[in-house]
Amino acid sequence: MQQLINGVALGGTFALLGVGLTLIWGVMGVLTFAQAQVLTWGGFGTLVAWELGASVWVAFGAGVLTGAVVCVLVEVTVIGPLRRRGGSEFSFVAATMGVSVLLGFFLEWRTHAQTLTFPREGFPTGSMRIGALTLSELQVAIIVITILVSAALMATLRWTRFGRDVRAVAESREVASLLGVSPRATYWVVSAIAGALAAIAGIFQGVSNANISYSSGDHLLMIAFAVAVVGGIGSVGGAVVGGLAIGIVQVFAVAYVSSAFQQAAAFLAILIVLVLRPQGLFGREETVRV
Amino acid sequence: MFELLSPYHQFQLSSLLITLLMVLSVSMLFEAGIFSLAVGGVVAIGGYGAGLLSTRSEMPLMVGLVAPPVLAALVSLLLGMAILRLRGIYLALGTFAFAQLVVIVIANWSFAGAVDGIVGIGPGLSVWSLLGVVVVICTLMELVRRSRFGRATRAIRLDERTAAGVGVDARRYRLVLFTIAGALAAFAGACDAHLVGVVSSDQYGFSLLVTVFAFALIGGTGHWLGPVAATICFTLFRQSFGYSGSGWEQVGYGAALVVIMLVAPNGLSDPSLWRRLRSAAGGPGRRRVAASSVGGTR
Amino acid sequence: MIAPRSRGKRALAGGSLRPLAALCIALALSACVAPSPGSDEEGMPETIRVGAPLDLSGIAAIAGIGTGEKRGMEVAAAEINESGFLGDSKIELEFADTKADKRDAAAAAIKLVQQDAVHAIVGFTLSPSFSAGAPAAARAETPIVVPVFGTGLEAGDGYAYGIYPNLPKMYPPHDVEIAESLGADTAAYLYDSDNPTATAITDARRDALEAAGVDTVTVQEVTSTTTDYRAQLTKIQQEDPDILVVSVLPGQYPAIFLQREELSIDVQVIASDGVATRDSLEQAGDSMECTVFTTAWSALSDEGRNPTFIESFQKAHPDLLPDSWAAAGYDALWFYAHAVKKAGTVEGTAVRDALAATSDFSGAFGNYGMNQDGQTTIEGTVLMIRDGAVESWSADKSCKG
Repeated sequence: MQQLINGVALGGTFALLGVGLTLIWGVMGVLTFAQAQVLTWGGFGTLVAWELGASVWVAFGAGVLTGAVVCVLVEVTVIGPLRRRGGSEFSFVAATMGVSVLLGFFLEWRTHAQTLTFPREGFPTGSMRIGALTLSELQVAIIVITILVSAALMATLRWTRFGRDVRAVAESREVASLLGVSPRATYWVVSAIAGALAAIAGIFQGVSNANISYSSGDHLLMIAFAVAVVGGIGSVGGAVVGGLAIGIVQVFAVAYVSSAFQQAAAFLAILIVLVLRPQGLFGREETVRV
Repeated sequence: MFELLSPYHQFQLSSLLITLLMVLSVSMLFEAGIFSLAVGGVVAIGGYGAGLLSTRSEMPLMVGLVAPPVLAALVSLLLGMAILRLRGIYLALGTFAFAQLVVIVIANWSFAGAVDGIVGIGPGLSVWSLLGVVVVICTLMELVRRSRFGRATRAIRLDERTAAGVGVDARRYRLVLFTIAGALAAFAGACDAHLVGVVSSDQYGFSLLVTVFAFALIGGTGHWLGPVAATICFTLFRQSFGYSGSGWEQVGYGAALVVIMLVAPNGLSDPSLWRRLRSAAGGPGRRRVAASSVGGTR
Repeated sequence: MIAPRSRGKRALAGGSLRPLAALCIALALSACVAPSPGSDEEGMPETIRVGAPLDLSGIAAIAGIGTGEKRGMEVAAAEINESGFLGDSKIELEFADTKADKRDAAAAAIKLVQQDAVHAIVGFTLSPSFSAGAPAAARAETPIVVPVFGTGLEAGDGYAYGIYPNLPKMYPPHDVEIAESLGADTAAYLYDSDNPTATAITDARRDALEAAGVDTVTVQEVTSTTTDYRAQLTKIQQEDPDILVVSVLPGQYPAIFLQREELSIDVQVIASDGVATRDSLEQAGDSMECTVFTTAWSALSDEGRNPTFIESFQKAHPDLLPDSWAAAGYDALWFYAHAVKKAGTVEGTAVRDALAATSDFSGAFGNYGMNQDGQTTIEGTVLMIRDGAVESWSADKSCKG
């Protein structure tokens, strides 16, 4: 049972990053390799705010804002122009790989390739007992936030006008703009949301590890891809389920099989889903679905 | 014997040629619209295969350079049959997942040296033999390009349904290409194992993929010379600045990826790019010629 | 329209081939003036060139080790040159960032040895980098001193000497001592399975402890990039061992201890060198209470040249604390200088023999010498973390587990 909690909490981080990725992929049709760095930059945003003397909540907000801004900037400076020049699917991959290298290098340069201490005071770091289980407050916080944020996002997409606009743009740019929806504005907002989610994941990772470095987020990128594939491109709910599923599978691999297979879990998941059911659990071709 | 190149430059040139082979294996698939990220896995099969044969058996060098590519071709064939029906990014992720799994299996397999890898692999092909191999392969690629096979490949990438309409069996072409690419990449991996003398699972991961992939993308799908030129330029750049440790090499690399993609989204060998450049450069001249010919033909 | 397109292709081909041809000619010309290896030189030249291929980039955990070694070497070079230890000869360091990439390591080694004619190599951060680069140096009869050594010294073919003690041999005797003082009967293990050194260390520690009667209840693996250890920690807790033996990279320790505390897991930890860096203590000192570990280098030690090292390091880097990596880089360069002085020449085989015969070296790691395997006789010190700081340990010291 304890392991189940571990899996769900771990999956929470995966889900947050995966949802952002699947949103961008579903709405903009772009597989962005820069998302891992967005996550790391979000964490650094909180670190810098903290060092400037901000309180926990302000620092948290600063980190989330940093993530959103970086993601939007990537859209504005690279993805958008490339889209206008008619780039192929593959060219976005190369361009975002380049962006990822640049973003990572900037952090490496500023931190002199060192690992820095991440602030923990003010964040939930204790433990609590519920019956026979010992839960870490951090785990509970991650689970709660993931659920709240995903629910809010899914509700927004389904029931608000903005949500309808996003789905319209995902379905067809031309039709959407004929209906008076601005694709560009939609892309910006979607990027901001994806960036904010990634930042939350990055901040939690920082608190969990008590440190952060320019390479902290890199290993999460492939898992985020796995989450998006398993859940179905464009499906927020799918990404949440996919993220939790992969988190649980990883943890159970450790508990019942062998630690060696923990690494293989995400990749096996991708292969199995692609061979058996390429559209993922909830996906359909290139649409944003709740 | 008169040494045309110093050992250091021989090493660097061999390194460049090996990277070139890997890039070509990826870009030959791009030309057919196959977006495969399996290169890390097949290169690992080549590298480990050559390493094991070289250090654990008395087989001659040629066996170590031929057997692993054959194995990789077989593996690619099986993988291709399973997932080549996928498209675009899905195929990309599936092939990447496969590559990572291959690496993880190798890393945990004690017969293959587990995490220590294999050390003490003897020297392989000389730099001149490698150069010869690369020249032969490029020649073959050019011949294929001008042949019916090459045209069929490009047709598949551009419009599969029409291609089928004129009798091109897309699935078979894709499988054949996938298999050949696997063998080529594995051969490069085998040569690499002999060049460096050491293989371990950490060298076949994400960074190898990013490097090879980026060169192939920048080179584009129009002509195999594109990836060749891209690989040569970037590798030379990397080799000249690489050890200063200032990190600016990374900046240049990342920036180049972004800028080149923005300027030439379909790569440097995209014919429309050159047409655009040439008309921009030769525009005024052409107009003059046209005017005079109009005047002259009266 | 077929004609214009093929013209375009020919233009492309012509344009790309000419620079390639020019390159080949340039390479050929430059090759004609390649110098011979520096280690062929006799006597004591005015400038002793030391090549230093280190992993200065890659994942942050590795880069931290490489940059630490670099700092230590720079401090040592300054001391050696200023004090005139080698008479009129001055040491010149030439760093190369091998980026945790084997091809780069091999290329850097060849370049340093063949092009730059260095007299020695002091460096290689990771074992795979060493395995890739050492053969080239050995072929040129260039002595190699490796600051932090893992496994596989044989790739240096007799020319390679490591400063760090053979870790798989260093830990086990102390582990057994610690386990016996705690009366432990069962042990769990946690280590980086993608790191050859950590794997070798854990195998050795396990063999020794099992031979001493401590049964293994579970072995859990993580990788250098793992950030969430809760699954492994929970599993370990369920098996209820008396001690937990951990071998991971320094940057991973804070997360492990913090998560252990969150989950209220109480087991006594026997860690490895690198658990008590300043950053780790700052980030997780409270959760590390009572952790015992063996270290090759200790800031508390007054032996050998350590006080001098600490003082010089603080002067050069007032905002940093000296660490094991810097100490290793420092001793590596001094060790080489020591051998050169003894041999009276920079000639490769002579220095190699002097390195092998060293028995009375005084460095940051204390007073030690070289054993017949090309590794040092450092035995290591056992320390304990108490109240967020490091203090020495002894068998009679008890602590809440």
